[in-house]
Amino acid sequence: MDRAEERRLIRRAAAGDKQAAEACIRAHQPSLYAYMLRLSGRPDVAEDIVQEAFVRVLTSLDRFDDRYRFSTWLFTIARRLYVNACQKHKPVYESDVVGGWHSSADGPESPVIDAEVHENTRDALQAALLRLPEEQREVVILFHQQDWPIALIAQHMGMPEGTVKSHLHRGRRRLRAFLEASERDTARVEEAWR
Amino acid sequence: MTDDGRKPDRRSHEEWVDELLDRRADDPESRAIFDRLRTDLDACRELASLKRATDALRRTPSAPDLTADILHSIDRRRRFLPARLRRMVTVGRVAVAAGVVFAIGVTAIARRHTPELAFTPEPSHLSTLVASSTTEARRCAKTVAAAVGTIRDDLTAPVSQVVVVSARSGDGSPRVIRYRSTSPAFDVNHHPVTVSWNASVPVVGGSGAADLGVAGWEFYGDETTAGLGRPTYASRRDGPDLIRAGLFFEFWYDPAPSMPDRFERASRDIR
Repeated sequence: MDRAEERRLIRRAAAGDKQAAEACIRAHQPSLYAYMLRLSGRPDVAEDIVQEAFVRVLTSLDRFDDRYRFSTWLFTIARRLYVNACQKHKPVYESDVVGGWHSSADGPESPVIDAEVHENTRDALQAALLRLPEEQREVVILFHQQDWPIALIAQHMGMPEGTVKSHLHRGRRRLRAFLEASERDTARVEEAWR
Repeated sequence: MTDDGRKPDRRSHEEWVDELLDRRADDPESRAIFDRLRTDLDACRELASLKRATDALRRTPSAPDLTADILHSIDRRRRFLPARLRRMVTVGRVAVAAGVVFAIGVTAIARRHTPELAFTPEPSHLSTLVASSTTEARRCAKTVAAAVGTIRDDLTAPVSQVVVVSARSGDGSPRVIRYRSTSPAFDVNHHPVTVSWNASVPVVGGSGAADLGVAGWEFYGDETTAGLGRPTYASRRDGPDLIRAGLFFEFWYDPAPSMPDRFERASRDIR
């Protein structure tokens, strides 16, 4: 969807046009869900946040400044909701909370989390992402999954571009290291089963 | 120096890889970087593994369709009203807000220009009240203390509260019982202070049941509230009905403090 079409849709949605609102949702839902899922590691959290973010954004479209991209605004609201949800759940360290709620994978609960991640998600990429520190994970997702430029990520996360780059470089290398370790583990398991 | 006279670029192969993956380099620059890395096996391996890791991120997971749920939630918040209706709601809200602001403004202006329109009564000067009542209070306290002493002697049952009916004279001469009602207040330093005022009840004859019956005076006192803001009053009535006499006494001792030392409540049923 190009910029002009997006503006038209938003104007119609702001005027109460349900079909325009529906088109906005359909256009941005997959990318927002992917971002939230990769960030949180939990489909239920991702669904809740995507739904709430759209409701908030679409009920306050009259405050939308069309000099900016709708997606940037939507992702900012979603990120705020996610941060609030993390703060709300911070003291909880139960086994059903997969590492997405923790920023560090070096704590004593790491083996438990790792085991659950491997067992429940069966997704090496997600497991590797969840082992990254929160900020590195978000920068890597926004840059490589959402194709956001570094300047926009810096604005979105409220940090200097140099810090974003540093998070990006470290995060990318750690992600690669975790993925390779995971592949080695998988190969060892397969070998054992043969 | 290089062959073409430029300074050699001493960046590590990791930095070159980052530059490529960060999408900072344009096409010719990218080609130059590839040419430079081609001869470095470690660099090639690094680039390939990082590319594989980041490419995996581009495979977006399948998303559930939440459109209906979102629209339903928005519907519940009445977002999709017809434009005309929404305009009416907005105009209504603005009108109510403007009305409230206008009323507050008018009130403020009115109070500024005509202070007598104040909606709350001006507080009395506490010092004036206390000063004017001190002398009277001392005199009253002495009278009432005497009356209480007299009546205490007349009681047979043990009492938890001092029971006072009236001054017992027995000589048939007119008497005046002074009593005081009180109401709580605060001084300028927010210390609790009791502001009092005086009232008097004339009594003819003695204060025993028979004497009161003869005199025909009945004292009404609300046992729960009299003395705290409402002066007790007395009225005359005839007949052999139950006569309830109740008075509320308060004693100020010398030197008179600004607050009562003690509050004694008195009541008694008389037949």
